[in-house]
Amino acid sequence: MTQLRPRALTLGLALALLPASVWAQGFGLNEIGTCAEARGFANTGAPCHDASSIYWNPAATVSLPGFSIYGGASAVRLMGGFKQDTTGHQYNANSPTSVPPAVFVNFSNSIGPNKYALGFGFYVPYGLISQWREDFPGRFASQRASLQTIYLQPNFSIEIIPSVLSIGAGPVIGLSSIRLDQAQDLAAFPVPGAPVPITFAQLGVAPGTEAAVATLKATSTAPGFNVGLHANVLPVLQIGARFLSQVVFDYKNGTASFRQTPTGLVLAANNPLGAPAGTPVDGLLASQFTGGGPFTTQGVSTKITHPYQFQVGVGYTGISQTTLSVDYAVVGWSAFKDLPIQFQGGAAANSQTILTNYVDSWSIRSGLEHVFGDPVVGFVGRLGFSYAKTPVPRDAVVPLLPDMNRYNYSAGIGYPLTKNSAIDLSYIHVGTEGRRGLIVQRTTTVNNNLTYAQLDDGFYTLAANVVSLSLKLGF
Amino acid sequence: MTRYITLGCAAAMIALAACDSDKLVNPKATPLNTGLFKSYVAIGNSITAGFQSGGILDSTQQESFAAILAHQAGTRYAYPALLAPGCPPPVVSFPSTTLGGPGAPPCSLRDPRSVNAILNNVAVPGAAAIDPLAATSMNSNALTTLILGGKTQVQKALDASPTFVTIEIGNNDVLSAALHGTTVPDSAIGSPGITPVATVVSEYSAMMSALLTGQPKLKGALFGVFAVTALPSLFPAESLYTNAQFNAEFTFAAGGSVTYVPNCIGSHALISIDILAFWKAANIPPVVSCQAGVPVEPYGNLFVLDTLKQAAFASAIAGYDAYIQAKADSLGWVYFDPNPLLGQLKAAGAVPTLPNLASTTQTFGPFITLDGIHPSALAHEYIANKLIQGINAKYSVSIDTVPHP
Repeated sequence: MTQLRPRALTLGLALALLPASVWAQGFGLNEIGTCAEARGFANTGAPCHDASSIYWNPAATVSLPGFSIYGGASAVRLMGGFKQDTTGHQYNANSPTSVPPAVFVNFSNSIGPNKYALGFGFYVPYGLISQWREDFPGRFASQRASLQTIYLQPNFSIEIIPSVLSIGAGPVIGLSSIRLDQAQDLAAFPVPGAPVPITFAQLGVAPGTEAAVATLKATSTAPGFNVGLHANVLPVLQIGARFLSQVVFDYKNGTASFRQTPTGLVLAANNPLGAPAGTPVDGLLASQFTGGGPFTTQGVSTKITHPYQFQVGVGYTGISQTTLSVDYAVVGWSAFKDLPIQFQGGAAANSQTILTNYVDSWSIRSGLEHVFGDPVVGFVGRLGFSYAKTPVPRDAVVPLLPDMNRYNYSAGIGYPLTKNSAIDLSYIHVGTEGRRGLIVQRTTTVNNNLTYAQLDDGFYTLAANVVSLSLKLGF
Repeated sequence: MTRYITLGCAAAMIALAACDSDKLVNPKATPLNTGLFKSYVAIGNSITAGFQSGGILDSTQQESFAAILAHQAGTRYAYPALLAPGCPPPVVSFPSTTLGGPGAPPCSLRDPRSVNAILNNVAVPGAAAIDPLAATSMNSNALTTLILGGKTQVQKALDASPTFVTIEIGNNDVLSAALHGTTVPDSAIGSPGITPVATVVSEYSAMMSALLTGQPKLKGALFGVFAVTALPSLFPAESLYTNAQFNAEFTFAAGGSVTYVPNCIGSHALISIDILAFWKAANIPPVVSCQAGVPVEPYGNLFVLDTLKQAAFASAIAGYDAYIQAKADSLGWVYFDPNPLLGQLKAAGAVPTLPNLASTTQTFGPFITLDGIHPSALAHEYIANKLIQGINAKYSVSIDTVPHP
C-alpha cells in the first residue's frame, strides 16, 4: 500500500519547533524583571537596583546590597488575528495567557576595596505560546505551538576599579522544551493504493481539509554564557554592556504522534479509484495510522539556535532622584537561516528543511525612573518606550511566528513594603502596524519555487498587554 | 447535461496550460463585487460546468456562462480545473476522434496547480435534481469526486458563503431518457426514464431550503429546463425520407446500409443520433422505424420519440419549470428560461434541425458542440448575456453584456 507522505507535517513542524513568541523580537522574550519592563527594557547602562541585573548586566550586581532576592512573573495576553484576502474572513488567535517567571538571588560583599557578588538567575529569555482556532486556514502550519526555554545562570561579578568599573559573567545552562499541534491537510496526502502517485487534491479534495492532527514534543539542554561590563564614568553617568551568547539546542529526543480527524468525506459512485460508492475517505486512511504507517508515533529531531543578544546602554542620574536610560540592542537572528526536521520513523523519507532566513535585528529602548520621597524607601514611578525591528523577512511571516515591528509602551511603580522589601508592578502595551503574511511556509522542497506574491494571502495583526509583578527582598 | 462519461482512474499528469487562477481569483473591488456579487457560486450540471463535445477540461471550463458572468460582474471565480486532455477528452472530430487520440487517458485529474479550497463553480456533469444534496447517487461519475472531493454541491457552495447563486438543475432528469427514446427506466440500455415531477419538486425544494438555511440573504437566478427534444441530436424522422442528402449521410454513418420502414412519414417522430451507436453496440441491422415493435422490438421504440413520448417530455419539463419559476418568483430571484433563446437560434437556423453528418467540426452548427447537446463557447456567451439582462432587470444592477462577433 502506498505510504502517505506527511509533507504538510514537515512544513508545520519546522516552525512548530520554533519558539512561538510573536510578542517580542522574533521568539525572544524580554519580560524578565518587572522594573526592567516598566523602564522599556533600557536596563543595561543603568540597571534596576535589583537582582535581575544577573540577566540585564551581570557586572552591575556588585552594586546590590548584601543578600537580595528578586522574583516574579509577567502575564502576557495576546490579541492577534489574520484577515484572509481570498475569503475576507477574519481569524483571531486563541493564545492563552502566558506567565513566564523570573527569579534571581544575589549576594554581594567586598574583598578589600573591591566589591564582588555571587548570584544565580532563573529566567525565560525565549518562548511563549501561539494558538489559533480550529477554523484557521493556517492551522496546517501551526495550530498550537509552545516553547519554553529556561536559562539557569550562576553569576560572579567583581569591581576592577572600585566604584568605577566592574565585570560580571556566568555560564548559562539552557533547558528547552517545545510542543506543536499541527493539522494535517488531506489534500496534500498521497492517495493510498492509487496506481500512480497522486494526491487527494487531484481527486478534488479541497486544500484545508483536516485529516489528522500531529503533536510533536521535544526537549533539549545546551550551554552558553552571559557576560557584562558596567562603568560609572561620571558621578551622574553610567554605561554598560552585556553579551548573552547564542545557545544551540539539539533536540534529538523528540516524539511525533498523530491523531486521525474524521473528514466525513465519501467517494461517489464511479470514482476514479474504482472504490465502491459511499466509501469513506477516512477508511482509506486508517491503515496509515497503524503498523509502520507514516502517521504512527515516531521520533523526530531538529536543531534550533537561540541567538546571541548584545546590548549597550547609558544612564543619566543628573536630575534629582531620577534616572534616564537609553539602550541599543542587537540580536543575532541571522543564525536562524533554516530549520532541519528529521523524522525517525515511517516518515523518514519526508524529512525536510524549513527556510527561515532571519536577519539580525535591533531595538532602541528608553526608560525613565523617578523616586518620590525618601531616596531609599520612597515610592518609585517608571515609564518606558522601546521599538523593536523584526528579524523575520516577509516570506517567513507565517502562522507560527507572524512577526512584525513592535512599539512597546510601558509604565510601572515600585511600592516599598518595608525598609528591605518592595513590590514592583508594571504594564506594557505592545502595539504594531500589522503586516502582510502567509498561511503556508517554505521548505527546501515545498513552495520554494513560488513567488511571495503567489503565497501572500492576507494581513496579520498583533497587539499584546503584559502585566508584571515582582517582589524585591534585601537582607 | 452529459451523455456518456466513461472514466477510469488515470493519473494523467499532462501539464498543459491551465487557467491563470490569479486573474480569476483576485479581481479589484467594485460596488458590485462587494455587494450582490460579493461571492458568486454556480450550481448545476454539465452546461454550467463547461462540458463541450462530450468532454471537459480547463479550456472548456473557462468558457462556461458562469465564468463569463463572473468575469462581467468582476467577482472572484475559481473553478475545478481539469488537466488536458480532459475527463473525458472532448471530441475534436465528429463522430468519435477525441482530444489526445486513442492513447489518451480516459479521465485526467484535477490540475494540482490550480486547486482552490473555495470553488465558485461546483456544477457536476451528469447531476440531476437528486444530486445537489447527495454525496453519491446513480448519476455520480468520476467528475463528481474530482469536482466535489467528497462533498455535495450544496456543501461545496456554502463553503463559499455565496451572496449570489445560479442554479441550473433538471436537464438530466429528462435528457438521458430523451436520447434513449424512453420515458420509463430501461436498465438494458441505461436509461433512467423521466424523473417524476413530484420527485424533482421535492429534491429542488430541499436543495433550496438547504441553501437558504445556510445563506438566508442569498440572491440568485434559477434556470428553467431546456426543451431537450429541441436539441439537434434529436431530429425529425421524416427527414430521412424527404431529404436525400441527409439520408445518404445517415446511411453512410450507419455503415452503408439502412432499412427505412415507411411508417415514419407523417409520424412527427424524432430519432436520436445515438441510434447509430446503439445499432453497433447491439450488433443488430440498422432499421429506421417509427412504430414500436415494427418490424420487431426494439425497432421503432428505443431511440425513437413518437408524439406521445414527446408530449410526456414536454409535460415533465413544464411541470419542472412551473415549480422553478414559482420558486424564483417567491424569492424575488431571476427566473431564466433558456428555451426562447434556443427557439430563436433554431428559427434562425443557427441551431440546425438536422445534423450535418458530413461535417467533422460543425456537425451541429456553431452553437452546439460535437455531442449534439452541449452549447459551444459562442452559445455560452448568448446564455450569459440573456442571464445578465435578467439579473440587471431584477436587481437593478448594470453588468455589461459580452459583445458578440
